[in-house]
Amino acid sequence: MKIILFSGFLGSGKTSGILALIEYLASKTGQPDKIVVVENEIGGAGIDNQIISSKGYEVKGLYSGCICCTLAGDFVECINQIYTKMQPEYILFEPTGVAYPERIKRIIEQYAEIIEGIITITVIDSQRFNKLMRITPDLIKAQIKSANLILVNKCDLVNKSEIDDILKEVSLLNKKASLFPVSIMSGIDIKIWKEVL
Amino acid sequence: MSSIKRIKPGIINKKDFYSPQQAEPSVYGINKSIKLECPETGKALKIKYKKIIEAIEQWADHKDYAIGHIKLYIDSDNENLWAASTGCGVNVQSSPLFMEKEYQCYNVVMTVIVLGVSNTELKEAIQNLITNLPVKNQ
Repeated sequence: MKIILFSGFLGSGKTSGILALIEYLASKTGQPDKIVVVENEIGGAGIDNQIISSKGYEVKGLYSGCICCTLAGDFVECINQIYTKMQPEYILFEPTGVAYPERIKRIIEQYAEIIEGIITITVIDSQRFNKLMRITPDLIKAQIKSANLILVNKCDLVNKSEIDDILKEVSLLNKKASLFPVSIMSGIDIKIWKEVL
Repeated sequence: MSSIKRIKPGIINKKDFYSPQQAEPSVYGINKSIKLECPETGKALKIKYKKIIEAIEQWADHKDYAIGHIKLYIDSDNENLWAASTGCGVNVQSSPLFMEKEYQCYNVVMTVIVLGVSNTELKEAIQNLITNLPVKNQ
Protein backbone atom coordinates (compact mmCIF):
# COMPACT_ATOMS: atom_id res chain seq x y z
CA MET A 1 0.00 0.00 0.00
CA LYS A 2 1.49 3.31 -1.11
CA ILE A 3 0.49 6.68 0.28
CA ILE A 4 0.46 9.71 -1.98
CA LEU A 5 0.39 12.85 0.11
CA PHE A 6 -1.02 15.92 -1.62
CA SER A 7 0.42 18.96 0.08
CA GLY A 8 -0.19 22.63 -0.69
CA PHE A 9 -1.77 25.75 0.75
CA LEU A 10 -5.53 26.31 0.91
CA GLY A 11 -6.99 26.78 -2.55
CA SER A 12 -3.84 25.73 -4.41
CA GLY A 13 -5.62 22.99 -6.36
CA LYS A 14 -5.00 19.84 -4.30
CA THR A 15 -8.48 18.40 -4.77
CA SER A 16 -8.37 19.00 -8.53
CA GLY A 17 -4.93 17.37 -8.56
CA ILE A 18 -6.28 14.34 -6.72
CA LEU A 19 -9.14 14.05 -9.20
CA ALA A 20 -6.65 14.11 -12.07
CA LEU A 21 -4.33 11.58 -10.44
CA ILE A 22 -7.08 9.21 -9.38
CA GLU A 23 -8.29 8.95 -12.97
CA TYR A 24 -4.76 8.18 -14.11
CA LEU A 25 -4.27 5.55 -11.40
CA ALA A 26 -7.67 3.99 -12.05
CA SER A 27 -6.83 3.53 -15.73
CA LYS A 28 -3.27 2.40 -14.95
CA THR A 29 -4.28 -0.25 -12.40
CA GLY A 30 -7.66 -1.09 -13.93
CA GLN A 31 -8.91 -1.31 -10.34
CA PRO A 32 -10.54 1.92 -9.18
CA ASP A 33 -11.72 0.13 -6.04
CA LYS A 34 -8.08 -0.32 -5.00
CA ILE A 35 -7.67 3.43 -4.61
CA VAL A 36 -8.93 5.23 -1.51
CA VAL A 37 -8.89 8.97 -0.89
CA VAL A 38 -8.56 10.32 2.65
CA GLU A 39 -9.61 13.94 3.09
CA ASN A 40 -8.71 16.07 6.09
CA GLU A 41 -10.51 19.39 6.30
CA ILE A 42 -10.34 22.13 8.90
CA GLY A 43 -14.06 22.82 8.72
CA GLY A 44 -16.66 20.75 10.50
CA ALA A 45 -18.25 19.54 7.27
CA GLY A 46 -16.50 17.99 4.31
CA ILE A 47 -16.76 19.42 0.83
CA ASP A 48 -13.82 17.85 -1.01
CA ASN A 49 -14.98 14.37 0.03
CA GLN A 50 -18.38 15.01 -1.57
CA ILE A 51 -16.80 16.24 -4.78
CA ILE A 52 -14.59 13.15 -5.06
CA SER A 53 -17.24 10.65 -3.99
CA SER A 54 -19.65 12.17 -6.53
CA LYS A 55 -17.21 10.85 -9.17
CA GLY A 56 -17.66 7.34 -7.77
CA TYR A 57 -14.48 6.98 -5.73
CA GLU A 58 -14.08 5.75 -2.16
CA VAL A 59 -13.43 8.62 0.27
CA LYS A 60 -12.85 8.76 4.02
CA GLY A 61 -13.02 12.04 5.86
CA LEU A 62 -11.37 13.55 8.93
CA TYR A 63 -12.88 16.90 9.90
CA SER A 64 -12.68 19.80 12.36
CA GLY A 65 -8.93 19.86 12.69
CA CYS A 66 -5.57 19.18 11.16
CA ILE A 67 -4.01 15.72 11.33
CA CYS A 68 -0.51 17.08 11.81
CA CYS A 69 -1.77 18.88 14.94
CA THR A 70 -4.90 17.53 16.63
CA LEU A 71 -6.13 14.55 14.64
CA ALA A 72 -2.97 12.39 14.41
CA GLY A 73 -4.56 9.50 16.33
CA ASP A 74 -7.70 9.58 14.18
CA PHE A 75 -5.56 9.53 11.05
CA VAL A 76 -3.55 6.49 12.13
CA GLU A 77 -6.75 4.66 13.06
CA CYS A 78 -8.25 5.61 9.70
CA ILE A 79 -5.21 4.26 7.78
CA ASN A 80 -5.24 1.02 9.76
CA GLN A 81 -8.97 0.53 9.16
CA ILE A 82 -8.58 1.13 5.44
CA TYR A 83 -5.75 -1.40 5.28
CA THR A 84 -7.67 -4.03 7.25
CA LYS A 85 -10.95 -3.67 5.37
CA MET A 86 -9.85 -2.81 1.84
CA GLN A 87 -6.12 -3.38 1.36
CA PRO A 88 -5.93 -0.77 -1.38
CA GLU A 89 -2.97 -0.30 -3.67
CA TYR A 90 -2.96 3.46 -3.16
CA ILE A 91 -4.18 5.88 -0.54
CA LEU A 92 -4.33 9.45 -1.82
CA PHE A 93 -4.26 11.70 1.20
CA GLU A 94 -5.23 15.36 1.11
CA PRO A 95 -4.31 17.12 4.34
CA THR A 96 -5.51 20.61 5.18
CA GLY A 97 -3.82 23.49 3.41
CA VAL A 98 -2.06 24.50 6.62
CA ALA A 99 -0.48 21.09 7.29
CA TYR A 100 3.25 20.47 7.45
CA PRO A 101 3.94 17.37 5.31
CA GLU A 102 7.00 16.28 7.28
CA ARG A 103 4.89 15.95 10.43
CA ILE A 104 2.43 13.77 8.55
CA LYS A 105 5.23 11.63 7.13
CA ARG A 106 6.57 11.08 10.65
CA ILE A 107 3.13 9.97 11.83
CA ILE A 108 2.79 7.58 8.89
CA GLU A 109 6.31 6.18 9.25
CA GLN A 110 5.51 5.00 12.76
CA TYR A 111 3.22 2.50 11.04
CA ALA A 112 5.59 1.72 8.17
CA GLU A 113 5.06 -2.03 8.31
CA ILE A 114 1.92 -1.66 6.17
CA ILE A 115 3.17 1.19 4.00
CA GLU A 116 5.40 0.50 0.97
CA GLY A 117 6.23 4.14 0.43
CA ILE A 118 5.14 7.74 0.77
CA ILE A 119 5.25 10.11 -2.18
CA THR A 120 4.67 13.79 -1.52
CA ILE A 121 3.20 15.96 -4.25
CA THR A 122 3.06 19.66 -3.46
CA VAL A 123 0.73 21.95 -5.36
CA ILE A 124 1.65 25.64 -5.50
CA ASP A 125 -0.81 28.40 -6.28
CA SER A 126 1.22 30.54 -8.68
CA GLN A 127 -1.38 33.33 -8.52
CA ARG A 128 -0.77 33.81 -4.79
CA PHE A 129 2.78 32.47 -4.41
CA ASN A 130 4.47 35.79 -3.61
CA LYS A 131 1.68 36.87 -1.28
CA LEU A 132 1.71 33.57 0.62
CA MET A 133 5.50 33.66 0.89
CA ARG A 134 5.04 36.96 2.74
CA ILE A 135 2.10 35.90 4.91
CA THR A 136 3.19 32.40 5.91
CA PRO A 137 6.71 31.72 4.58
CA ASP A 138 7.61 28.90 6.97
CA LEU A 139 4.60 26.81 5.95
CA ILE A 140 5.00 27.37 2.20
CA LYS A 141 8.72 26.58 2.33
CA ALA A 142 8.09 23.45 4.39
CA GLN A 143 5.51 22.24 1.86
CA ILE A 144 7.99 22.82 -0.99
CA LYS A 145 10.97 21.25 0.77
CA SER A 146 9.21 17.99 1.56
CA ALA A 147 7.99 17.29 -1.99
CA ASN A 148 9.04 14.62 -4.48
CA LEU A 149 6.97 16.30 -7.18
CA ILE A 150 6.00 19.98 -7.29
CA LEU A 151 3.18 21.26 -9.48
CA VAL A 152 3.21 25.02 -9.96
CA ASN A 153 -0.49 25.35 -10.67
CA LYS A 154 -2.68 27.98 -12.35
CA CYS A 155 0.15 28.86 -14.74
CA ASP A 156 -2.50 29.83 -17.30
CA LEU A 157 -3.50 32.71 -15.00
CA VAL A 158 -0.02 34.16 -14.47
CA ASN A 159 2.43 35.65 -16.98
CA LYS A 160 5.41 33.60 -18.09
CA SER A 161 8.12 35.71 -16.48
CA GLU A 162 6.37 35.42 -13.12
CA ILE A 163 6.14 31.65 -13.55
CA ASP A 164 9.85 31.54 -14.40
CA ASP A 165 10.65 33.46 -11.21
CA ILE A 166 8.51 31.08 -9.14
CA LEU A 167 10.16 28.03 -10.72
CA LYS A 168 13.59 29.48 -9.94
CA GLU A 169 12.71 30.23 -6.33
CA VAL A 170 11.07 26.85 -5.78
CA SER A 171 13.96 24.93 -7.34
CA LEU A 172 16.35 26.68 -4.96
CA LEU A 173 14.28 25.49 -2.01
CA ASN A 174 14.08 21.91 -3.27
CA LYS A 175 16.67 20.78 -5.80
CA LYS A 176 15.68 17.11 -5.75
CA ALA A 177 11.98 17.33 -6.61
CA SER A 178 10.61 17.15 -10.13
CA LEU A 179 9.08 20.53 -10.91
CA PHE A 180 6.40 21.33 -13.49
CA PRO A 181 4.31 24.38 -14.32
CA VAL A 182 0.75 23.16 -14.88
CA SER A 183 -2.85 24.15 -15.15
CA ILE A 184 -4.60 21.27 -13.42
CA MET A 185 -8.00 22.45 -14.63
CA SER A 186 -6.77 22.14 -18.22
CA GLY A 187 -5.42 18.63 -17.66
CA ILE A 188 -2.12 17.07 -16.64
CA ASP A 189 0.22 15.21 -18.97
CA ILE A 190 0.54 11.63 -17.69
CA LYS A 191 4.30 11.91 -18.15
CA ILE A 192 4.25 14.10 -15.04
CA TRP A 193 2.63 11.40 -12.92
CA LYS A 194 5.11 8.86 -14.30
CA GLU A 195 7.92 10.95 -12.81
CA VAL A 196 7.02 9.73 -9.34
CA LEU A 197 4.73 6.71 -9.74
CA MET B 1 10.29 30.78 14.96
CA SER B 2 9.35 33.16 12.19
CA SER B 3 11.96 35.04 10.23
CA ILE B 4 12.40 38.76 10.90
CA LYS B 5 10.96 40.88 8.13
CA ARG B 6 12.78 43.98 6.95
CA ILE B 7 10.20 46.70 6.36
CA LYS B 8 10.84 48.46 3.07
CA PRO B 9 9.86 52.08 2.61
CA GLY B 10 6.84 52.65 0.45
CA ILE B 11 3.44 51.00 0.52
CA ILE B 12 2.76 49.10 3.70
CA ASN B 13 0.13 46.41 3.31
CA LYS B 14 -1.38 44.93 6.46
CA LYS B 15 -1.44 41.53 4.75
CA ASP B 16 2.37 41.55 4.70
CA PHE B 17 2.73 41.80 8.44
CA TYR B 18 0.64 39.10 10.00
CA SER B 19 2.34 37.48 12.93
CA PRO B 20 2.43 33.66 12.91
CA GLN B 21 -0.39 33.72 15.46
CA GLN B 22 -2.55 35.89 13.21
CA ALA B 23 -1.72 33.59 10.32
CA GLU B 24 -3.73 30.85 12.05
CA PRO B 25 -6.81 30.65 9.87
CA SER B 26 -10.31 31.28 11.14
CA VAL B 27 -13.02 28.99 9.84
CA TYR B 28 -16.73 29.42 9.37
CA GLY B 29 -18.86 26.60 8.04
CA ILE B 30 -22.46 26.12 6.97
CA ASN B 31 -24.04 22.71 6.53
CA LYS B 32 -27.78 22.97 5.93
CA SER B 33 -30.75 21.44 4.21
CA ILE B 34 -32.69 24.17 2.45
CA LYS B 35 -36.36 24.02 1.54
CA LEU B 36 -37.50 26.81 -0.78
CA GLU B 37 -41.06 28.10 -1.01
CA CYS B 38 -40.84 27.98 -4.81
CA PRO B 39 -38.48 25.76 -6.80
CA GLU B 40 -35.48 27.42 -8.41
CA THR B 41 -33.33 26.32 -11.32
CA GLY B 42 -29.75 25.26 -10.78
CA LYS B 43 -28.72 28.27 -12.81
CA ALA B 44 -30.54 30.61 -10.40
CA LEU B 45 -28.92 28.89 -7.41
CA LYS B 46 -25.53 29.24 -9.04
CA ILE B 47 -26.04 32.98 -9.48
CA LYS B 48 -27.22 33.46 -5.88
CA TYR B 49 -24.39 31.51 -4.28
CA LYS B 50 -21.81 33.07 -6.54
CA LYS B 51 -23.02 36.44 -5.26
CA ILE B 52 -22.53 35.26 -1.67
CA ILE B 53 -18.97 34.20 -2.42
CA GLU B 54 -18.24 37.45 -4.23
CA ALA B 55 -19.64 39.39 -1.27
CA ILE B 56 -17.27 37.51 1.06
CA GLU B 57 -14.36 38.19 -1.31
CA GLN B 58 -15.19 41.92 -1.30
CA TRP B 59 -15.55 42.01 2.48
CA ALA B 60 -12.15 40.32 2.98
CA ASP B 61 -10.50 42.60 0.45
CA HIS B 62 -12.03 45.70 2.04
CA LYS B 63 -10.78 44.59 5.47
CA ASP B 64 -7.33 43.59 4.14
CA TYR B 65 -7.82 40.00 5.24
CA ALA B 66 -6.40 37.13 3.21
CA ILE B 67 -8.78 34.42 2.02
CA GLY B 68 -7.50 30.89 2.55
CA HIS B 69 -10.32 29.51 0.51
CA ILE B 70 -14.07 29.64 0.14
CA LYS B 71 -15.65 26.38 -0.93
CA LEU B 72 -19.27 25.60 -1.61
CA TYR B 73 -21.00 22.35 -2.46
CA ILE B 74 -24.70 22.00 -3.29
CA ASP B 75 -26.35 18.69 -4.00
CA SER B 76 -29.85 17.51 -4.70
CA ASP B 77 -31.46 14.81 -6.78
CA ASN B 78 -28.08 13.28 -7.77
CA GLU B 79 -26.90 16.58 -9.22
CA ASN B 80 -24.28 18.86 -7.68
CA LEU B 81 -22.56 22.20 -7.94
CA TRP B 82 -19.10 23.03 -6.65
CA ALA B 83 -17.75 26.57 -6.30
CA ALA B 84 -14.40 27.73 -4.98
CA SER B 85 -12.51 30.96 -4.53
CA THR B 86 -9.17 32.10 -3.19
CA GLY B 87 -10.15 35.74 -3.54
CA CYS B 88 -9.19 35.99 -7.22
CA GLY B 89 -12.61 35.19 -8.71
CA VAL B 90 -15.10 32.35 -8.31
CA ASN B 91 -14.58 29.05 -10.08
CA VAL B 92 -17.84 27.13 -10.54
CA GLN B 93 -18.34 23.58 -11.80
CA SER B 94 -21.40 21.39 -11.83
CA SER B 95 -22.69 18.00 -12.85
CA PRO B 96 -24.06 17.97 -16.43
CA LEU B 97 -27.77 18.44 -15.62
CA PHE B 98 -27.51 20.63 -12.52
CA MET B 99 -28.17 23.96 -14.23
CA GLU B 100 -31.33 23.00 -16.09
CA LYS B 101 -33.14 21.13 -13.30
CA GLU B 102 -35.36 22.82 -10.69
CA TYR B 103 -34.89 22.30 -6.97
CA GLN B 104 -37.16 22.89 -4.02
CA CYS B 105 -34.93 21.08 -1.52
CA TYR B 106 -31.19 20.85 -1.53
CA ASN B 107 -28.20 20.50 0.79
CA VAL B 108 -25.56 23.18 0.96
CA VAL B 109 -22.14 22.98 2.58
CA MET B 110 -19.91 26.02 2.63
CA THR B 111 -16.55 26.52 4.30
CA VAL B 112 -14.90 29.92 4.54
CA ILE B 113 -11.30 30.08 5.74
CA VAL B 114 -9.76 33.51 6.24
CA LEU B 115 -6.41 34.58 7.67
CA GLY B 116 -5.95 37.65 9.82
CA VAL B 117 -9.43 37.71 11.35
CA SER B 118 -10.88 36.27 14.56
CA ASN B 119 -13.42 33.45 14.41
CA THR B 120 -16.00 35.72 16.03
CA GLU B 121 -15.58 38.53 13.50
CA LEU B 122 -15.62 36.06 10.61
CA LYS B 123 -18.83 34.43 11.85
CA GLU B 124 -20.58 37.78 12.34
CA ALA B 125 -19.48 39.06 8.95
CA ILE B 126 -20.63 35.97 7.03
CA GLN B 127 -23.95 35.85 8.85
CA ASN B 128 -24.54 39.51 7.99
CA LEU B 129 -23.62 38.95 4.35
CA ILE B 130 -26.03 36.05 3.88
CA THR B 131 -28.94 37.58 5.78
CA ASN B 132 -30.84 38.41 2.61
CA LEU B 133 -29.70 35.43 0.59
CA PRO B 134 -31.21 31.94 0.22
CA VAL B 135 -29.32 30.25 3.04
CA LYS B 136 -31.80 31.77 5.50
CA ASN B 137 -34.79 30.12 3.79
CA GLN B 138 -34.75 26.82 5.61
